Amino acid sequence: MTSSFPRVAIAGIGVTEQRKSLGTSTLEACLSATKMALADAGMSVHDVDGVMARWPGPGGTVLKPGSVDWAEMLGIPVRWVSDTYPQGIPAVLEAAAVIGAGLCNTVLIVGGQAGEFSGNDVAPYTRPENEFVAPWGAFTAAHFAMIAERYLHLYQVDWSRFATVAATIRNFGHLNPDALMYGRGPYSASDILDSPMVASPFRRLDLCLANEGAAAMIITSVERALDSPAPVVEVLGGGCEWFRQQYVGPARYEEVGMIGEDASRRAFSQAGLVPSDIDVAQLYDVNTFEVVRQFEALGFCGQGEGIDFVTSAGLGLDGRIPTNTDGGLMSFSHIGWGAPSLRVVEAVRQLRHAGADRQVPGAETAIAAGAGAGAQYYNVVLLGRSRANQAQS
Amino acid sequence: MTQSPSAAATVFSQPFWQAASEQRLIRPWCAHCQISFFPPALCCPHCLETGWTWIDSSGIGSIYSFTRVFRAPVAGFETPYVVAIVDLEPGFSLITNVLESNFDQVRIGDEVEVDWAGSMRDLPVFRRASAAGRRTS
Repeated sequence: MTSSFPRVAIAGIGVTEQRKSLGTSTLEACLSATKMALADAGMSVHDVDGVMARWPGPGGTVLKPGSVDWAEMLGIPVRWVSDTYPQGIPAVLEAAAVIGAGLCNTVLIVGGQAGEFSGNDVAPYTRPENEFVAPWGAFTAAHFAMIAERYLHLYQVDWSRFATVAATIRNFGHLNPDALMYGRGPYSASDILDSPMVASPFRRLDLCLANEGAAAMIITSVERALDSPAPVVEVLGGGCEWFRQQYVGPARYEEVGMIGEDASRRAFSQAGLVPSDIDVAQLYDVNTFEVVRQFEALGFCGQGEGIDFVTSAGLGLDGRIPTNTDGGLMSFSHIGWGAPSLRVVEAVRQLRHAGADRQVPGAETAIAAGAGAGAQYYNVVLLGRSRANQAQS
Repeated sequence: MTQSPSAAATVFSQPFWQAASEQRLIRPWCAHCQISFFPPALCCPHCLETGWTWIDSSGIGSIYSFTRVFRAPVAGFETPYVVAIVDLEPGFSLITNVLESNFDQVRIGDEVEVDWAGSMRDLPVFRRASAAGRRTS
């Protein structure tokens, strides 16, 4: 099967320490991640001619695109910049498109947050100000909760069955020394169901973290990636969907409950794969419900059948589809607009077979995804351990 | 409820908050499409005409979905409280609160009625129709 998707690879990944509070600035954390990703790719900053980032300051300009400020700080001229939102998949896909079009050769993607939290309020990005949302005390988890409540009403599913999903993902984090929640388990389904209610049906352990850290990736052609030390991980396909701006109008299950279905169909078609070909999944676990919904939207099962699917398939290392093997957003880390890159990075680690204790044996294909129904947008990428690796060795 | 919602009003939404300050619930109405839409914007999202108007809402609707919030995103909200999506006329739905002392009674599909008796009197909130009836009797 021939695909029109550009032959690009994720040649470098860099992730700083992920902590509740880093004691540094967003800019410093992002610079650290950048250096790590370049070293991982075996590249110098002068190999980079495209930047996809945002400029957090200090210094630079208030003008856009802030990615140009990155070029200035790094001392490089660039051929392409884009202040991508969010990071992660839309940035990877845009990098693939511009590299494929010959507009530049090697793209740095970087994002994260540090030194931004204050007091006991939830993170600012989880309660975006809007005149038709904020006055009634709505926030991101509440939007997702109303989607979940509508789903449970329509499909008459027992919510307690979902707890195993959170427990499984959190147990990955419990075993991951780099995770914020390392050593905090192990968790059983009843631990999830016994945690305090935040926004029904979600309890504290159904919801993701909000913390500090940064992540960076280097995207380049497969040909150039072959010079990098690590096994080449290719981008096989992808897609994005936006239904409405997030957190302005009400998110309705009947409108956005299957968001991602169209994007994933296109992605699988580009890759010449079907869901049953996928060895490992890195989904966007902002809450327990979303993981189940995403398996439906991604075509692993039918609509309303998600909990039956994940229960019978199993999401652990011994399951049919190991999911969020680093502990995900719930237990590893969630760094705001930079968090989507973390899902891609863990997919790359698995396909490099660098997953240590949590390695899915022989993983050849991975799916990573970002955002969800409550946010009214979704994106997906399919990655594969490149055949070029064998050709080279 | 920590700040006036009208503080963030736009040129498109200002009439909504003006009416709310008089405890009237109004909705955008496109005469061409014979439908409402929300939030208010430059044009009707169905025909892209800018000449839409505001008309009264009945203030009667039903709960499309809801969540019981036990941890508020910022200080100033008394927990627990109910955040709901209330469907009013076709095309007009609000994210709002349902005031209900007995949380466990709230159900998707419940009929609700607008109420201005929340902690901010120019903010439309809702009560379940039966509860509203009890209150006024």
